[in-house]
Amino acid sequence: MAPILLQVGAFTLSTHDFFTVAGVIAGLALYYRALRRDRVLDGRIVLISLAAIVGGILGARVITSWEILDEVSAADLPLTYVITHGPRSIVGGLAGGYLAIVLSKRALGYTLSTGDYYAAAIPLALAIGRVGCFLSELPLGTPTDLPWAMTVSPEAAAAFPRCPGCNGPMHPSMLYEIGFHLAAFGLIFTRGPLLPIRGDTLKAYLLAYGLFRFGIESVRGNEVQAWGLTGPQIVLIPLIGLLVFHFVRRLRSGAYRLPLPEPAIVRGG
Amino acid sequence: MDPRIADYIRANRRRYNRDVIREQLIKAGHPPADIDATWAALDAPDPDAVVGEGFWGRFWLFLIGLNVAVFLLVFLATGMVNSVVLAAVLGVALSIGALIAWGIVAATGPAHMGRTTAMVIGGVIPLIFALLIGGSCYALVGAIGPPPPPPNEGLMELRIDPPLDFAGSGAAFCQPHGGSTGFSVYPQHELGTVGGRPVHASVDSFGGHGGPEGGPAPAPAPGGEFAQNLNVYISLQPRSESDPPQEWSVTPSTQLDIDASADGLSGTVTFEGLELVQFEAPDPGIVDGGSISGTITWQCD
Repeated sequence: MAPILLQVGAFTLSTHDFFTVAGVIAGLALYYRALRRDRVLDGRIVLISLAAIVGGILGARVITSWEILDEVSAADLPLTYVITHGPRSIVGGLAGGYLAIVLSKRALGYTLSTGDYYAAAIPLALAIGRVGCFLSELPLGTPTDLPWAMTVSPEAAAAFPRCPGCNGPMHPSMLYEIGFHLAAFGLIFTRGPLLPIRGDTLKAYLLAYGLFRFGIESVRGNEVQAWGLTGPQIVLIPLIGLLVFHFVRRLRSGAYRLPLPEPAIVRGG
Repeated sequence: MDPRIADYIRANRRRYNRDVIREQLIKAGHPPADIDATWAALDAPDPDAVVGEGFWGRFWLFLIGLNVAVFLLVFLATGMVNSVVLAAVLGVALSIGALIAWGIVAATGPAHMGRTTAMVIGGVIPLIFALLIGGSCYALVGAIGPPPPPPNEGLMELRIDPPLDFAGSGAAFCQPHGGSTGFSVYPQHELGTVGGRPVHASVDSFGGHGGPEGGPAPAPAPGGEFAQNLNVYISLQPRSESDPPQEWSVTPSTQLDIDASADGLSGTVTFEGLELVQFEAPDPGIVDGGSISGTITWQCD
Protein backbone atom coordinates (compact mmCIF):
# COMPACT_ATOMS: atom_id res chain seq x y z
CA MET A 1 0.00 0.00 0.00
CA ALA A 2 1.28 3.45 -0.86
CA PRO A 3 -1.44 6.01 -0.19
CA ILE A 4 1.17 8.77 -0.09
CA LEU A 5 3.13 9.08 -3.33
CA LEU A 6 5.47 11.82 -2.23
CA GLN A 7 6.11 13.57 1.05
CA VAL A 8 8.55 16.44 1.25
CA GLY A 9 8.41 18.11 4.61
CA ALA A 10 4.85 19.24 5.13
CA PHE A 11 3.82 18.71 1.50
CA THR A 12 2.00 15.46 0.75
CA LEU A 13 0.99 14.17 -2.68
CA SER A 14 -1.77 11.58 -2.54
CA THR A 15 -1.27 8.54 -4.78
CA HIS A 16 -4.93 8.25 -5.71
CA ASP A 17 -5.28 11.89 -6.71
CA PHE A 18 -2.05 11.84 -8.71
CA PHE A 19 -3.09 8.86 -10.81
CA THR A 20 -6.64 10.20 -11.23
CA VAL A 21 -5.35 13.46 -12.63
CA ALA A 22 -2.74 11.67 -14.74
CA GLY A 23 -5.45 9.45 -16.19
CA VAL A 24 -7.67 12.42 -17.03
CA ILE A 25 -4.79 14.25 -18.72
CA ALA A 26 -3.74 11.18 -20.73
CA GLY A 27 -7.31 10.52 -21.81
CA LEU A 28 -7.89 14.12 -22.83
CA ALA A 29 -4.65 14.23 -24.79
CA LEU A 30 -5.59 11.11 -26.74
CA TYR A 31 -9.10 12.44 -27.30
CA TYR A 32 -7.93 15.78 -28.66
CA ARG A 33 -5.35 14.03 -30.83
CA ALA A 34 -8.08 11.93 -32.43
CA LEU A 35 -10.29 14.99 -32.97
CA ARG A 36 -7.48 16.91 -34.57
CA ARG A 37 -6.50 14.01 -36.82
CA ASP A 38 -10.02 13.95 -38.26
CA ARG A 39 -10.18 17.76 -38.36
CA VAL A 40 -13.25 18.02 -36.16
CA LEU A 41 -11.53 19.84 -33.30
CA ASP A 42 -13.23 23.18 -32.71
CA GLY A 43 -14.39 25.39 -29.89
CA ARG A 44 -17.78 23.75 -29.35
CA ILE A 45 -16.36 20.29 -28.94
CA VAL A 46 -13.82 21.55 -26.43
CA LEU A 47 -16.65 23.03 -24.36
CA ILE A 48 -18.52 19.73 -24.65
CA SER A 49 -15.48 17.85 -23.33
CA LEU A 50 -15.25 20.24 -20.39
CA ALA A 51 -18.90 19.55 -19.65
CA ALA A 52 -18.09 15.83 -19.76
CA ILE A 53 -15.41 16.27 -17.09
CA VAL A 54 -17.72 18.20 -14.78
CA GLY A 55 -20.53 15.72 -15.41
CA GLY A 56 -18.18 12.84 -14.68
CA ILE A 57 -17.03 14.36 -11.39
CA LEU A 58 -20.61 14.94 -10.24
CA GLY A 59 -21.85 11.59 -11.51
CA ALA A 60 -19.11 9.70 -9.70
CA ARG A 61 -20.32 11.12 -6.38
CA VAL A 62 -24.07 11.42 -6.88
CA ILE A 63 -24.69 7.88 -8.10
CA THR A 64 -23.34 6.39 -4.86
CA SER A 65 -24.80 9.01 -2.54
CA TRP A 66 -27.78 6.83 -1.65
CA GLU A 67 -25.42 4.33 0.01
CA ILE A 68 -24.50 6.78 2.77
CA LEU A 69 -27.57 9.02 3.08
CA ASP A 70 -28.65 7.30 6.31
CA GLU A 71 -25.22 7.73 7.89
CA VAL A 72 -24.93 11.35 6.80
CA SER A 73 -28.36 12.10 8.21
CA ALA A 74 -27.63 10.33 11.48
CA ALA A 75 -24.37 12.23 11.88
CA ASP A 76 -26.21 15.51 11.24
CA LEU A 77 -23.92 16.40 8.36
CA PRO A 78 -25.00 18.66 5.45
CA LEU A 79 -26.36 16.93 2.35
CA THR A 80 -23.46 18.30 0.30
CA TYR A 81 -21.27 15.95 2.32
CA VAL A 82 -22.24 13.13 -0.03
CA ILE A 83 -20.69 15.13 -2.88
CA THR A 84 -17.58 16.34 -1.10
CA HIS A 85 -16.76 13.25 0.98
CA GLY A 86 -18.93 10.43 -0.31
CA PRO A 87 -17.69 7.31 -2.06
CA ARG A 88 -16.80 7.60 -5.74
CA SER A 89 -17.85 5.33 -8.57
CA ILE A 90 -16.34 4.92 -12.01
CA VAL A 91 -19.71 3.70 -13.25
CA GLY A 92 -21.27 6.92 -12.00
CA GLY A 93 -18.50 8.96 -13.56
CA LEU A 94 -19.06 7.39 -16.97
CA ALA A 95 -22.82 7.81 -16.72
CA GLY A 96 -22.52 11.42 -15.55
CA GLY A 97 -20.03 12.29 -18.26
CA TYR A 98 -22.18 10.69 -20.96
CA LEU A 99 -25.27 12.56 -19.80
CA ALA A 100 -23.34 15.83 -19.70
CA ILE A 101 -22.19 15.30 -23.28
CA VAL A 102 -25.72 14.64 -24.50
CA LEU A 103 -27.08 17.73 -22.77
CA SER A 104 -24.25 20.06 -23.78
CA LYS A 105 -24.43 18.96 -27.41
CA ARG A 106 -28.12 19.78 -27.48
CA ALA A 107 -27.47 23.12 -25.84
CA LEU A 108 -24.78 24.00 -28.39
CA GLY A 109 -26.63 22.53 -31.37
CA TYR A 110 -23.77 20.12 -32.09
CA THR A 111 -25.13 17.10 -33.95
CA LEU A 112 -22.04 15.17 -35.05
CA SER A 113 -21.46 11.97 -33.08
CA THR A 114 -18.08 12.14 -31.38
CA GLY A 115 -18.37 9.17 -29.05
CA ASP A 116 -15.80 7.10 -30.89
CA TYR A 117 -13.13 9.70 -30.17
CA TYR A 118 -13.56 8.82 -26.51
CA ALA A 119 -13.51 5.09 -27.17
CA ALA A 120 -9.74 4.72 -26.72
CA ALA A 121 -9.29 7.64 -24.34
CA ILE A 122 -11.65 6.38 -21.65
CA PRO A 123 -10.09 2.92 -21.12
CA LEU A 124 -6.64 4.51 -21.08
CA ALA A 125 -7.71 7.04 -18.45
CA LEU A 126 -9.42 4.36 -16.36
CA ALA A 127 -6.43 2.01 -16.53
CA ILE A 128 -4.13 4.76 -15.24
CA GLY A 129 -6.61 5.90 -12.59
CA ARG A 130 -7.12 2.37 -11.30
CA VAL A 131 -3.40 2.13 -10.57
CA GLY A 132 -3.98 4.82 -7.97
CA CYS A 133 -6.89 2.85 -6.51
CA PHE A 134 -4.78 -0.31 -6.37
CA LEU A 135 -1.97 1.45 -4.53
CA SER A 136 -4.11 3.31 -2.00
CA GLU A 137 -7.46 1.63 -1.33
CA LEU A 138 -8.64 -1.46 0.50
CA PRO A 139 -10.04 -4.05 0.30
CA LEU A 140 -8.29 -5.24 -2.85
CA GLY A 141 -10.97 -7.89 -3.29
CA THR A 142 -12.69 -10.79 -1.61
CA PRO A 143 -10.65 -13.50 0.13
CA THR A 144 -9.20 -16.20 -2.10
CA ASP A 145 -6.72 -19.06 -2.13
CA LEU A 146 -5.68 -18.51 -5.74
CA PRO A 147 -1.92 -18.44 -6.34
CA TRP A 148 -1.98 -14.78 -7.42
CA ALA A 149 -3.86 -13.60 -4.34
CA MET A 150 -2.34 -10.56 -2.62
CA THR A 151 -1.98 -9.62 1.03
CA VAL A 152 -1.40 -6.35 2.87
CA SER A 153 0.20 -5.51 6.22
CA PRO A 154 -1.96 -5.28 9.37
CA GLU A 155 -1.02 -1.62 9.65
CA ALA A 156 -2.35 -0.91 6.16
CA ALA A 157 -5.55 -2.86 6.85
CA ALA A 158 -6.12 -0.99 10.13
CA ALA A 159 -6.15 2.33 8.27
CA PHE A 160 -9.50 1.36 6.69
CA PRO A 161 -12.51 1.07 9.05
CA ARG A 162 -14.21 -1.36 6.70
CA CYS A 163 -11.76 -3.85 5.30
CA PRO A 164 -13.33 -7.29 5.00
CA GLY A 165 -10.82 -10.05 4.44
CA CYS A 166 -7.87 -7.67 4.61
CA ASN A 167 -6.03 -9.85 7.06
CA GLY A 168 -5.69 -12.62 4.50
CA PRO A 169 -5.01 -13.12 0.78
CA MET A 170 -7.39 -11.24 -1.51
CA HIS A 171 -8.34 -11.12 -5.19
CA PRO A 172 -6.40 -8.25 -6.83
CA SER A 173 -9.67 -7.12 -8.44
CA MET A 174 -8.29 -3.74 -9.46
CA LEU A 175 -5.55 -5.47 -11.45
CA TYR A 176 -8.21 -7.48 -13.26
CA GLU A 177 -9.88 -4.23 -14.17
CA ILE A 178 -6.63 -2.59 -15.27
CA GLY A 179 -6.04 -5.59 -17.53
CA PHE A 180 -9.49 -5.25 -19.08
CA HIS A 181 -9.06 -1.54 -19.77
CA LEU A 182 -5.58 -2.00 -21.25
CA ALA A 183 -6.87 -4.76 -23.54
CA ALA A 184 -9.77 -2.57 -24.65
CA PHE A 185 -7.46 0.39 -25.21
CA GLY A 186 -5.03 -1.72 -27.22
CA LEU A 187 -7.79 -3.13 -29.42
CA ILE A 188 -9.50 0.20 -30.12
CA PHE A 189 -6.28 2.21 -30.51
CA THR A 190 -4.77 -0.20 -33.02
CA ARG A 191 -7.92 -1.16 -34.95
CA GLY A 192 -9.73 2.17 -34.90
CA PRO A 193 -13.55 2.28 -34.78
CA LEU A 194 -14.80 -1.31 -34.44
CA LEU A 195 -18.33 -0.63 -35.70
CA PRO A 196 -19.38 1.30 -38.78
CA ILE A 197 -21.77 3.73 -37.08
CA ARG A 198 -20.29 6.72 -35.29
CA GLY A 199 -20.45 6.43 -31.54
CA ASP A 200 -21.22 2.71 -31.47
CA THR A 201 -17.62 1.70 -30.73
CA LEU A 202 -17.84 3.69 -27.50
CA LYS A 203 -21.19 2.14 -26.68
CA ALA A 204 -19.78 -1.32 -27.38
CA TYR A 205 -16.89 -0.63 -25.00
CA LEU A 206 -19.30 0.66 -22.34
CA LEU A 207 -21.46 -2.47 -22.73
CA ALA A 208 -18.41 -4.73 -22.49
CA TYR A 209 -17.16 -2.88 -19.43
CA GLY A 210 -20.60 -2.95 -17.85
CA LEU A 211 -20.82 -6.71 -18.21
CA PHE A 212 -17.24 -7.18 -17.03
CA ARG A 213 -17.79 -4.93 -14.03
CA PHE A 214 -21.03 -6.67 -13.12
CA GLY A 215 -19.15 -9.95 -12.97
CA ILE A 216 -16.04 -8.61 -11.23
CA GLU A 217 -18.18 -7.18 -8.44
CA SER A 218 -18.43 -10.69 -7.06
CA VAL A 219 -14.74 -10.49 -6.10
CA ARG A 220 -14.45 -6.75 -5.39
CA GLY A 221 -15.38 -6.85 -1.73
CA ASN A 222 -18.05 -4.15 -1.97
CA GLU A 223 -20.90 -4.20 0.48
CA VAL A 224 -24.13 -5.90 -0.62
CA GLN A 225 -26.91 -3.33 -0.73
CA ALA A 226 -30.06 -5.18 -1.81
CA TRP A 227 -31.24 -8.38 -3.53
CA GLY A 228 -27.78 -9.88 -3.05
CA LEU A 229 -26.28 -7.21 -5.30
CA THR A 230 -23.71 -4.50 -4.62
CA GLY A 231 -24.37 -0.83 -5.37
CA PRO A 232 -22.50 -0.84 -8.71
CA GLN A 233 -24.33 -3.98 -9.82
CA ILE A 234 -27.70 -2.39 -9.09
CA VAL A 235 -26.75 0.72 -11.06
CA LEU A 236 -25.37 -1.33 -13.96
CA ILE A 237 -28.57 -3.28 -14.59
CA PRO A 238 -30.51 -0.41 -16.21
CA LEU A 239 -27.39 0.91 -17.96
CA ILE A 240 -26.60 -2.48 -19.50
CA GLY A 241 -30.25 -2.85 -20.42
CA LEU A 242 -30.25 0.45 -22.31
CA LEU A 243 -27.10 -0.48 -24.24
CA VAL A 244 -28.39 -3.94 -25.15
CA PHE A 245 -31.63 -2.38 -26.36
CA HIS A 246 -29.62 0.07 -28.46
CA PHE A 247 -27.67 -2.65 -30.25
CA VAL A 248 -30.67 -4.90 -30.73
CA ARG A 249 -32.48 -1.98 -32.37
CA ARG A 250 -29.46 -1.29 -34.59
CA LEU A 251 -29.24 -4.90 -35.73
CA ARG A 252 -32.94 -5.25 -36.40
CA SER A 253 -33.05 -2.05 -38.46
CA GLY A 254 -30.07 -3.08 -40.59
CA ALA A 255 -28.25 0.10 -39.63
CA TYR A 256 -24.86 -1.52 -40.00
CA ARG A 257 -25.33 -1.99 -43.74
CA LEU A 258 -23.91 1.12 -45.37
CA PRO A 259 -25.74 2.27 -48.51
CA LEU A 260 -23.79 1.66 -51.70
CA PRO A 261 -22.29 4.66 -53.50
CA GLU A 262 -22.60 5.36 -57.18
CA PRO A 263 -19.89 3.43 -59.02
CA ALA A 264 -16.98 5.36 -60.43
CA ILE A 265 -17.01 6.17 -64.11
CA VAL A 266 -14.44 3.99 -65.84
CA ARG A 267 -12.57 6.05 -68.38
CA GLY A 268 -11.91 3.97 -71.48
CA GLY A 269 -8.54 4.00 -73.01
CA MET B 1 -13.74 17.54 -56.40
CA ASP B 2 -15.92 14.70 -57.67
CA PRO B 3 -19.52 15.68 -56.85
CA ARG B 4 -20.64 12.07 -56.57
CA ILE B 5 -17.98 11.36 -53.95
CA ALA B 6 -18.82 14.62 -52.17
CA ASP B 7 -22.55 13.86 -52.17
CA TYR B 8 -21.98 10.37 -50.77
CA ILE B 9 -19.70 11.67 -48.04
CA ARG B 10 -22.12 14.47 -47.10
CA ALA B 11 -25.04 12.03 -46.97
CA ASN B 12 -23.30 9.51 -44.72
CA ARG B 13 -20.52 11.24 -42.75
CA ARG B 14 -22.72 12.22 -39.84
CA ARG B 15 -23.84 8.62 -39.24
CA TYR B 16 -20.95 6.44 -40.40
CA ASN B 17 -17.24 6.41 -39.66
CA ARG B 18 -14.78 7.85 -42.11
CA ASP B 19 -12.93 4.58 -42.72
CA VAL B 20 -16.12 2.71 -43.57
CA ILE B 21 -17.29 5.41 -46.00
CA ARG B 22 -13.88 5.48 -47.65
CA GLU B 23 -13.86 1.70 -47.96
CA GLN B 24 -17.28 1.70 -49.65
CA LEU B 25 -16.16 4.36 -52.13
CA ILE B 26 -13.02 2.41 -52.95
CA LYS B 27 -15.13 -0.74 -53.50
CA ALA B 28 -17.27 1.28 -55.90
CA GLY B 29 -14.16 2.02 -57.91
CA HIS B 30 -13.36 5.55 -56.84
CA PRO B 31 -9.63 6.31 -56.59
CA PRO B 32 -8.38 6.74 -52.99
CA ALA B 33 -6.61 9.97 -53.96
CA ASP B 34 -9.89 11.49 -55.22
CA ILE B 35 -11.66 10.37 -52.06
CA ASP B 36 -9.02 11.91 -49.79
CA ALA B 37 -8.97 15.13 -51.79
CA THR B 38 -12.76 15.41 -51.53
CA TRP B 39 -12.62 14.82 -47.75
CA ALA B 40 -9.98 17.54 -47.40
CA ALA B 41 -12.08 19.97 -49.40
CA LEU B 42 -15.15 19.24 -47.31
CA ASP B 43 -13.15 19.62 -44.08
CA ALA B 44 -11.59 22.96 -45.02
CA PRO B 45 -12.29 25.58 -42.33
CA ASP B 46 -14.61 28.45 -43.01
CA PRO B 47 -12.31 31.39 -43.89
CA ASP B 48 -14.76 33.75 -42.21
CA ALA B 49 -14.26 32.04 -38.84
CA VAL B 50 -11.24 33.97 -37.56
CA VAL B 51 -10.58 35.41 -34.15
CA GLY B 52 -8.96 38.58 -35.32
CA GLU B 53 -5.60 40.20 -34.74
CA GLY B 54 -4.17 40.46 -31.25
CA PHE B 55 -5.95 37.33 -30.10
CA TRP B 56 -3.01 35.78 -28.25
CA GLY B 57 -2.21 38.97 -26.43
CA ARG B 58 -5.75 39.23 -25.12
CA PHE B 59 -5.84 35.51 -24.34
CA TRP B 60 -2.67 35.59 -22.21
CA LEU B 61 -3.81 38.73 -20.44
CA PHE B 62 -7.09 37.08 -19.54
CA LEU B 63 -5.53 33.73 -18.59
CA ILE B 64 -2.81 35.13 -16.37
CA GLY B 65 -5.03 37.81 -14.89
CA LEU B 66 -7.78 35.35 -13.96
CA ASN B 67 -5.33 32.88 -12.40
CA VAL B 68 -3.60 35.59 -10.38
CA ALA B 69 -6.99 36.86 -9.18
CA VAL B 70 -8.08 33.35 -8.11
CA PHE B 71 -4.75 32.76 -6.40
CA LEU B 72 -4.94 36.00 -4.43
CA LEU B 73 -8.57 35.39 -3.49
CA VAL B 74 -7.89 31.90 -2.14
CA PHE B 75 -4.55 32.98 -0.62
CA LEU B 76 -6.12 35.76 1.42
CA ALA B 77 -9.52 34.21 2.18
CA THR B 78 -8.23 30.88 3.52
CA GLY B 79 -5.35 32.18 5.60
CA MET B 80 -2.82 30.58 3.31
CA VAL B 81 -0.52 33.50 4.07
CA ASN B 82 0.78 31.39 6.96
CA SER B 83 1.80 28.47 4.76
CA VAL B 84 4.23 28.99 1.90
CA VAL B 85 3.97 25.31 1.00
CA LEU B 86 0.20 25.41 0.51
CA ALA B 87 0.46 28.62 -1.49
CA ALA B 88 3.09 27.00 -3.70
CA VAL B 89 0.88 23.95 -4.22
CA LEU B 90 -2.09 26.15 -5.23
CA GLY B 91 0.16 28.14 -7.55
CA VAL B 92 1.41 24.95 -9.20
CA ALA B 93 -2.15 23.62 -9.57
CA LEU B 94 -3.34 26.81 -11.25
CA SER B 95 -0.24 26.92 -13.47
CA ILE B 96 -0.83 23.38 -14.70
CA GLY B 97 -4.44 24.26 -15.47
CA ALA B 98 -3.34 27.39 -17.34
CA LEU B 99 -0.82 25.40 -19.38
CA ILE B 100 -3.48 22.89 -20.31
CA ALA B 101 -5.86 25.69 -21.32
CA TRP B 102 -3.17 27.21 -23.52
CA GLY B 103 -2.38 23.78 -24.98
CA ILE B 104 -6.00 23.15 -25.91
CA VAL B 105 -6.45 26.53 -27.55
CA ALA B 106 -3.12 26.25 -29.37
CA ALA B 107 -3.79 22.70 -30.55
CA THR B 108 -7.30 23.54 -31.67
CA GLY B 109 -6.11 26.63 -33.41
CA PRO B 110 -7.69 30.01 -32.81
CA ALA B 111 -9.04 29.94 -36.34
CA HIS B 112 -11.30 27.03 -35.36
CA MET B 113 -12.84 28.64 -32.33
CA GLY B 114 -14.41 31.95 -31.56
CA ARG B 115 -12.84 34.46 -29.23
CA THR B 116 -15.48 33.88 -26.60
CA THR B 117 -14.94 30.13 -26.68
CA ALA B 118 -11.19 30.51 -26.33
CA MET B 119 -11.58 32.87 -23.39
CA VAL B 120 -14.07 30.54 -21.70
CA ILE B 121 -11.62 27.66 -22.08
CA GLY B 122 -8.88 29.83 -20.64
CA GLY B 123 -11.02 30.52 -17.61
CA VAL B 124 -12.78 27.22 -17.06
CA ILE B 125 -9.92 24.74 -17.35
CA PRO B 126 -7.66 26.27 -14.70
CA LEU B 127 -10.65 26.49 -12.36
CA ILE B 128 -11.55 22.83 -12.94
CA PHE B 129 -7.95 21.91 -12.30
CA ALA B 130 -7.88 24.03 -9.19
CA LEU B 131 -10.99 22.21 -7.96
CA LEU B 132 -9.53 18.80 -8.75
CA ILE B 133 -6.12 19.41 -7.25
CA GLY B 134 -6.80 22.36 -4.97
CA GLY B 135 -9.73 20.57 -3.41
CA SER B 136 -7.47 17.70 -2.49
CA CYS B 137 -4.89 20.14 -1.19
CA TYR B 138 -7.50 21.95 0.89
CA ALA B 139 -8.58 18.63 2.33
CA LEU B 140 -4.94 17.99 3.17
CA VAL B 141 -4.76 21.20 5.22
CA GLY B 142 -5.97 19.35 8.25
CA ALA B 143 -3.66 16.46 7.57
CA ILE B 144 -0.46 18.29 6.73
CA GLY B 145 2.03 18.00 9.46
CA PRO B 146 4.86 15.76 10.52
CA PRO B 147 4.55 12.05 9.71
CA PRO B 148 2.68 10.07 12.37
CA PRO B 149 4.83 8.53 15.09
CA PRO B 150 5.48 4.78 14.98
CA PRO B 151 2.84 2.62 16.72
CA ASN B 152 3.18 1.59 20.37
CA GLU B 153 2.95 -2.07 21.29
CA GLY B 154 0.62 -3.40 23.94
CA LEU B 155 -2.25 -5.75 24.66
CA MET B 156 -5.86 -5.85 23.48
CA GLU B 157 -8.71 -7.75 25.13
CA LEU B 158 -12.01 -8.43 23.42
CA ARG B 159 -15.16 -9.68 25.09
CA ILE B 160 -18.35 -10.35 23.12
CA ASP B 161 -21.61 -11.11 24.91
CA PRO B 162 -23.73 -14.19 24.09
CA PRO B 163 -24.88 -15.58 21.72
CA LEU B 164 -21.42 -15.25 20.11
CA ASP B 165 -19.87 -15.45 23.61
CA PHE B 166 -16.19 -14.78 23.01
CA ALA B 167 -13.32 -13.70 25.27
CA GLY B 168 -9.80 -13.36 23.93
CA SER B 169 -6.71 -11.20 23.93
CA GLY B 170 -3.50 -10.65 22.03
CA ALA B 171 -0.64 -8.34 21.23
CA ALA B 172 -1.77 -5.06 19.71
CA PHE B 173 -0.57 -1.78 18.21
CA CYS B 174 -1.73 1.65 19.35
CA GLN B 175 -1.25 4.21 16.57
CA PRO B 176 -1.74 7.89 17.41
CA HIS B 177 -2.84 9.96 14.39
CA GLY B 178 -0.23 12.53 13.47
CA GLY B 179 -1.28 16.15 13.11
CA SER B 180 -4.73 15.73 14.65
CA THR B 181 -6.43 14.16 17.62
CA GLY B 182 -7.38 10.52 17.35
CA PHE B 183 -5.86 7.09 17.39
CA SER B 184 -6.21 3.55 16.07
CA VAL B 185 -5.88 0.31 18.00
CA TYR B 186 -5.58 -3.02 16.20
CA PRO B 187 -4.20 -6.49 17.00
CA GLN B 188 -0.92 -7.79 15.65
CA HIS B 189 -2.46 -11.25 15.23
CA GLU B 190 -5.79 -12.94 15.92
CA LEU B 191 -7.33 -12.49 19.35
CA GLY B 192 -8.68 -16.03 19.39
CA THR B 193 -10.97 -18.16 17.29
CA VAL B 194 -14.69 -18.82 17.02
CA GLY B 195 -15.56 -22.05 15.28
CA GLY B 196 -12.08 -22.18 13.81
CA ARG B 197 -12.32 -18.63 12.47
CA PRO B 198 -9.70 -16.11 13.60
CA VAL B 199 -11.15 -13.10 15.40
CA HIS B 200 -9.90 -9.56 14.74
CA ALA B 201 -11.03 -6.23 16.13
CA SER B 202 -10.08 -2.59 15.74
CA VAL B 203 -10.93 0.74 17.30
CA ASP B 204 -10.48 4.00 15.36
CA SER B 205 -11.08 7.38 16.89
CA PHE B 206 -11.12 10.51 14.72
CA GLY B 207 -11.05 13.86 16.42
CA GLY B 208 -13.41 16.54 14.96
CA HIS B 209 -15.22 15.69 11.71
CA GLY B 210 -12.39 13.92 9.94
CA GLY B 211 -12.75 10.43 8.59
CA PRO B 212 -10.84 8.15 6.27
CA GLU B 213 -10.45 9.62 2.80
CA GLY B 214 -12.79 8.27 0.19
CA GLY B 215 -15.54 7.37 2.63
CA PRO B 216 -18.03 9.08 4.92
CA ALA B 217 -17.09 10.21 8.40
CA PRO B 218 -18.19 7.63 11.00
CA ALA B 219 -21.14 8.43 13.22
CA PRO B 220 -20.20 10.46 16.28
CA ALA B 221 -20.04 8.51 19.53
CA PRO B 222 -22.81 9.52 21.92
CA GLY B 223 -22.32 11.39 25.15
CA GLY B 224 -20.16 14.20 26.38
CA GLU B 225 -19.23 17.63 25.21
CA PHE B 226 -16.06 16.32 23.62
CA ALA B 227 -17.57 13.32 21.81
CA GLN B 228 -15.27 11.98 19.12
CA ASN B 229 -16.05 10.14 15.88
CA LEU B 230 -15.54 6.50 16.69
CA ASN B 231 -15.37 3.28 14.65
CA VAL B 232 -15.41 -0.23 16.09
CA TYR B 233 -14.89 -3.13 13.73
CA ILE B 234 -14.93 -6.85 14.55
CA SER B 235 -14.43 -9.65 12.07
CA LEU B 236 -14.31 -13.43 11.84
CA GLN B 237 -11.83 -14.31 9.12
CA PRO B 238 -12.63 -17.00 6.56
CA ARG B 239 -11.15 -20.43 6.71
CA SER B 240 -11.15 -20.80 2.90
CA GLU B 241 -12.30 -18.99 -0.24
CA SER B 242 -15.75 -20.54 -0.04
CA ASP B 243 -16.11 -19.42 3.56
CA PRO B 244 -16.86 -15.68 3.47
CA PRO B 245 -15.77 -13.49 6.38
CA GLN B 246 -18.25 -12.01 8.81
CA GLU B 247 -17.87 -8.46 9.99
CA TRP B 248 -19.66 -6.20 12.40
CA SER B 249 -19.40 -2.44 12.32
CA VAL B 250 -21.00 0.74 13.60
CA THR B 251 -24.38 1.90 12.31
CA PRO B 252 -26.53 4.87 13.38
CA SER B 253 -28.30 2.66 15.94
CA THR B 254 -25.08 1.43 17.60
CA GLN B 255 -24.45 2.59 21.16
CA LEU B 256 -20.80 3.30 21.95
CA ASP B 257 -19.21 4.38 25.20
CA ILE B 258 -15.50 5.15 25.27
CA ASP B 259 -13.20 5.81 28.19
CA ALA B 260 -9.68 6.32 26.86
CA SER B 261 -6.58 8.33 27.67
CA ALA B 262 -6.00 11.45 25.61
CA ASP B 263 -3.10 9.82 23.75
CA GLY B 264 -5.16 6.69 23.00
CA LEU B 265 -2.61 4.36 24.57
CA SER B 266 -5.12 2.87 26.97
CA GLY B 267 -8.85 2.67 27.20
CA THR B 268 -12.08 0.74 27.08
CA VAL B 269 -14.86 0.84 24.53
CA THR B 270 -18.25 -0.64 25.34
CA PHE B 271 -20.36 -1.34 22.27
CA GLU B 272 -23.99 -2.34 22.01
CA GLY B 273 -25.70 -3.18 18.73
CA LEU B 274 -22.72 -3.57 16.40
CA GLU B 275 -24.45 -4.68 13.20
CA LEU B 276 -23.53 -7.57 10.93
CA VAL B 277 -22.25 -6.39 7.53
CA GLN B 278 -23.23 -8.33 4.42
CA PHE B 279 -20.87 -7.83 1.47
CA GLU B 280 -22.02 -10.81 -0.51
CA ALA B 281 -24.85 -13.32 -0.40
CA PRO B 282 -25.81 -14.12 3.20
CA ASP B 283 -24.15 -17.17 4.68
CA PRO B 284 -25.57 -19.05 7.67
CA GLY B 285 -22.12 -18.71 9.32
CA ILE B 286 -21.80 -18.94 13.01
CA VAL B 287 -24.03 -16.13 14.15
CA ASP B 288 -27.64 -16.14 13.02
CA GLY B 289 -27.55 -12.51 11.75
CA GLY B 290 -28.26 -9.62 14.07
CA SER B 291 -25.99 -7.52 16.22
CA ILE B 292 -23.40 -8.10 18.93
CA SER B 293 -22.38 -6.31 22.13
CA GLY B 294 -19.33 -6.37 24.34
CA THR B 295 -16.17 -4.48 25.28
CA ILE B 296 -12.69 -3.87 23.93
CA THR B 297 -9.92 -2.96 26.36
CA TRP B 298 -6.36 -2.05 25.46
CA GLN B 299 -3.15 -0.99 27.13
CA CYS B 300 -0.04 0.06 25.21
CA ASP B 301 3.37 1.16 26.40
